[in-house]
Amino acid sequence: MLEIKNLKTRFNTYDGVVKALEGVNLDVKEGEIFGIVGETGCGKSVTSYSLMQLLPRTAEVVSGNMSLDGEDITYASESRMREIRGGEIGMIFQDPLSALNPVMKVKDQISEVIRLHQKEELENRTEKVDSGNERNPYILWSLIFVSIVSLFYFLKLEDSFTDTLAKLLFWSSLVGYVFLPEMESNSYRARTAVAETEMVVESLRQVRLPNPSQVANSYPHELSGGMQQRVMIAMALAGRPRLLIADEPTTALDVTIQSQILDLLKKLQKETGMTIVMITHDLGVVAEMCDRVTVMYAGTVVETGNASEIFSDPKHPYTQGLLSALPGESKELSSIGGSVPDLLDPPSGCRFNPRCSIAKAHCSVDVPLLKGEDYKVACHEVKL
Amino acid sequence: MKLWLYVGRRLALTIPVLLGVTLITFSLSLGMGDPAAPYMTEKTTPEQRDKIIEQHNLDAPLPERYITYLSNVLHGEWGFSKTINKPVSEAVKIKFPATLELSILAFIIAVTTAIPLGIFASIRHNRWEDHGVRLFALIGSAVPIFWFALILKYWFAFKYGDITNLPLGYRFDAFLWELDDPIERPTGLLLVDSILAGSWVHFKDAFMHMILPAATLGYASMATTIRLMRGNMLDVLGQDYVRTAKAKGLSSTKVIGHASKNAMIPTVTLLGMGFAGLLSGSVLTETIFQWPGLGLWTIQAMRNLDVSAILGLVIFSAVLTILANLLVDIAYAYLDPRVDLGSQISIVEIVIVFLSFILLGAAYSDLSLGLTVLSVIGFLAVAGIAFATAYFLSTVREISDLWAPAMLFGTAIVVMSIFKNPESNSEIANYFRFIPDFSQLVLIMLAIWILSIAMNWSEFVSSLGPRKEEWKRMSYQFVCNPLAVFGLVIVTLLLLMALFAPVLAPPTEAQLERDPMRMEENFHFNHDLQPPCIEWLSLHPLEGCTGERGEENGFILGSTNKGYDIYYGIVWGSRTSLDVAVKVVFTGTFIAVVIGVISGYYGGRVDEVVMRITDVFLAIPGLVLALAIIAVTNDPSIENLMYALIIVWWPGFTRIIRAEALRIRKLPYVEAARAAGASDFRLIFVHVLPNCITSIIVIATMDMGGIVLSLAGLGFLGFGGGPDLAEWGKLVSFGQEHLLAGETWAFFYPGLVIALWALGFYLLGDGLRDILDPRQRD
Repeated sequence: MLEIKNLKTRFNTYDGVVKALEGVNLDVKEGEIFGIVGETGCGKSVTSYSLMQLLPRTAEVVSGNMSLDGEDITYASESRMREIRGGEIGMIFQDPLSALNPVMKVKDQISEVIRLHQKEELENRTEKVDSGNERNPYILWSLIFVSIVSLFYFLKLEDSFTDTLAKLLFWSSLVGYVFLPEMESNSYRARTAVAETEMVVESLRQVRLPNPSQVANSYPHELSGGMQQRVMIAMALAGRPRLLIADEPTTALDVTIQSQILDLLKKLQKETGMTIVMITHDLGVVAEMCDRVTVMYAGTVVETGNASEIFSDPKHPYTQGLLSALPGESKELSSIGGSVPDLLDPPSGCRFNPRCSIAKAHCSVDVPLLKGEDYKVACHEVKL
Repeated sequence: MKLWLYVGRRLALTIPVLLGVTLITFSLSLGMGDPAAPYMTEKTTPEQRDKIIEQHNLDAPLPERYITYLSNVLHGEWGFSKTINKPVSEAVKIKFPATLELSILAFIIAVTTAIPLGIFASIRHNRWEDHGVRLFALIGSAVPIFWFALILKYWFAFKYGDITNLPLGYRFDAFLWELDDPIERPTGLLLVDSILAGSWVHFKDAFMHMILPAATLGYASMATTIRLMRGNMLDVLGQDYVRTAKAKGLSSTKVIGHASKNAMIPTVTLLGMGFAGLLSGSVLTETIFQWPGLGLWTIQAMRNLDVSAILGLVIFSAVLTILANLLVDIAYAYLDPRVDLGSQISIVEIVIVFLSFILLGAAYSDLSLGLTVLSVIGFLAVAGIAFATAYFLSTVREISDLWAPAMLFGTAIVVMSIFKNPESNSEIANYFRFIPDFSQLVLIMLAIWILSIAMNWSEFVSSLGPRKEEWKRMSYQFVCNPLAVFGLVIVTLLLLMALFAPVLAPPTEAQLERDPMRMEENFHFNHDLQPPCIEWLSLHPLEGCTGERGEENGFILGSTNKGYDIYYGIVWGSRTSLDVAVKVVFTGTFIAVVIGVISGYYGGRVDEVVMRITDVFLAIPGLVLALAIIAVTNDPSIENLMYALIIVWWPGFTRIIRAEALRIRKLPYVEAARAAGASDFRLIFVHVLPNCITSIIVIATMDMGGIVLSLAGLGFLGFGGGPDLAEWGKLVSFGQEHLLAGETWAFFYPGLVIALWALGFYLLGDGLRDILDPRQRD
């Protein structure tokens, strides 16, 4: 479904060019939950931003090829990208509070997505909405009242401030009559609004939010962290995307809320059959959720394969190091020696070679390529 | 429901502020000679004067006088204005619509152009469009408003007046409105009136008269709004929710819509300030365009020592500003759902509001009741201060705990050293002989600084290494910012001009003997302006060029009507500007940092009281207050001017620094340091102050420009030091008189230098903000 080939992204900074991504290869299949794991700064998020063309201005994609269902979207036009964003690829971010607009109500933020990507559905529903011919009677009556009183005043009084005021009121009330039909509840706009609210509430219900209509009418800061993330998910799903990118969706949340959100994502995936790309640094999340996993290190993919395989029998020395750094039942904790390389001046050859325990001389010269069919490893020393 | 509580609270808080304003006007009125003057008309006989004194308790002790004054203000008896021969309260009603109409139009011009421009600049961040808009905005705030008005007036109303048909001044064509076709004017707002009367001719006439003054006023306030909007947009565009909006697939216009909604919130809060700025600006604009509003009346009142009008106007403009701020606060609460509407009510606030409410009520109803309340409040205040001091002293355990009073004492010394007149021999001056002069004070501070470096020499040397790296980075960023470099060049040139003034414009023997800062009159050129001796500078065909010193090069930039050499005035005026700007900024910053940091850091009751005091000062438009101080003391010396400027400027400074301190105090690393057991002293000096220093430097740099603009404004209105002191604003006002003779040089060049000075410092400050703020690096 999603295929990324040899993606290279660079950041131009004061200190020099940061080679954030150096040939990333991914292959996500329809209907699976795909995990991208790695330490902070290894390029997980940059990969997804490159895909969505959401990179900051200092960054650029230098080479590579990204395709969605066979369509090359590497250099897709801005208008095509807008259809893709939210419509075909939804995205969830790390910190829900800062990722939601603080001054817009939840329903407005969600209905924006619906209006953009669910136009047909919205129109269909608008046709069906039958709200009768009711309009708020008070508006008409108060308009009539204002007109009569002001008319009375400016006919009676002369040359005074109240007279001016009355004149202004009279004319503005006349203008009010013009807009009266718009206020009727069976006008098209009113019915669309009803349909929209219906869809917003549905999408909130879909993410198991209790009391969805109340949530829809609140501002983000009035909700708890878990509810905010559910709103984020509802917003991402409102456009019915086929691919959902979840960028560290649980990092900012409590442990109990984390598992709720993960469960929810899993259930939603089963219900809708969409594909999910899970970006995380948490190996536990990956083990629990993902069908297949990619491990990234310093802007490169080092290993790809089935989650069970990678966890039971990691091939790449980096993955092995990562897994042995997890607290387990009977083993002693170990850590990988050295530290993450500076991407301004990355090591030549295999980027992991300075820290690798099995590195040979040629590792610091030749860049290892991903090899293997289903299960791929980028290492000179590993034989499949 | 909660919003209504909030509105009620804001309304209640205006009462003590208004009370504070009357306290200021009352103390101003004490500074004048005849206490009965505000109530006298030209026909008042001595017997009537005695009656007035008796009626208003003018010979009674101070508290009684104050209560009577308060009661008069509340009952609408604001005295009698000599300048327009009407009671002040009635005159305000006549004059106000003109100013209101002008301000509203200017406000509309400013907001409708500034917000789109600010958004546009932020989208094109750091490209040439952005630099262009920024320069446009900076020029708007750097150009002295009176000079800009004069240029517009000369260019569009005088030189090309035949084509544009724009009038030179006044509000309407008197023939049309009063003789040919008089229409009803129920509102006093001419545009509204002509619409109500349905007369296109009148509407067009009123509108044509408004274009130039409104454009002048609008440009000045547009500038600040653009800069604010741009900055806020840049902030918001970096937020996560903007990325979310993009990821939803919104078009870029919609994304900008999302962002601008958020960016509007802080912009709206400053629109109230902008309104006060309009009132200040209208004083200058109305003077130039002879617009018959409050501003013009203010100036006439100042020049004729029409005290009641001055005091009445101060109160009235304060009420307007307070109302504008109130509306803005409500709009803010409405716009930003996150604003906390109720939790900030404190006991101090309730007490202050309650007491001022009681005092107002008592003064309104009865003199003796008011006096009783006042004495009770006075007693409570004294008791409170005594109690607080005793409490504070009981908590002092070490001598280093006394740092806060020590700092306040130090500030007092700095302030006094500036106002100390070394030549004064009065008895009071004798007491303050121990205080060093300003220059000595600077030397002492320099010495302390060098000493502290010498004592920690090894530490200083070791800190040089990383600092060098930092400097390299900063200078790189500085060079990348063409506008900042431009600003630095301008500032350096102007400072060099002040430094080498004796070389650039050598004074004559007589001038050296007197005081080189004073310009020399050349009487045989009296009432006969000499054009500049360089033809392309004259903007005018050259007819004859003679100078006092050497016929060949004469007056390089021409002369004014008293034969003052404009070039000499400009060169030596830079010393006046530098002197005033440095002293005012230095003192203002000192006061603001001490009070702001203490009040922001400790918060609570101290903060509450300090904020209410700054509220009172901020309620009165700056220029109006400065003018009132100068006019009432009737002493236009340059020292008095500085005094007025500091009084006007410190509350703004304090507010900003307090907000910074408040923000930093809550940051995690300060909490962490506190958790580690650091003392208040250490927290303030090691954590809070160094983090404020960026904004202090930036604001101080910008205000170096702002102060000179205010100084020039005062000088233009005729309050710029002695009559022959070299001062730029004064030179412009000399030139103004000859505008309609087409002799443009006399106002053009001094104004240009003022604009350059302000522009240079604004650009530099803007650049510094970008460079010093570590968040801006990428």
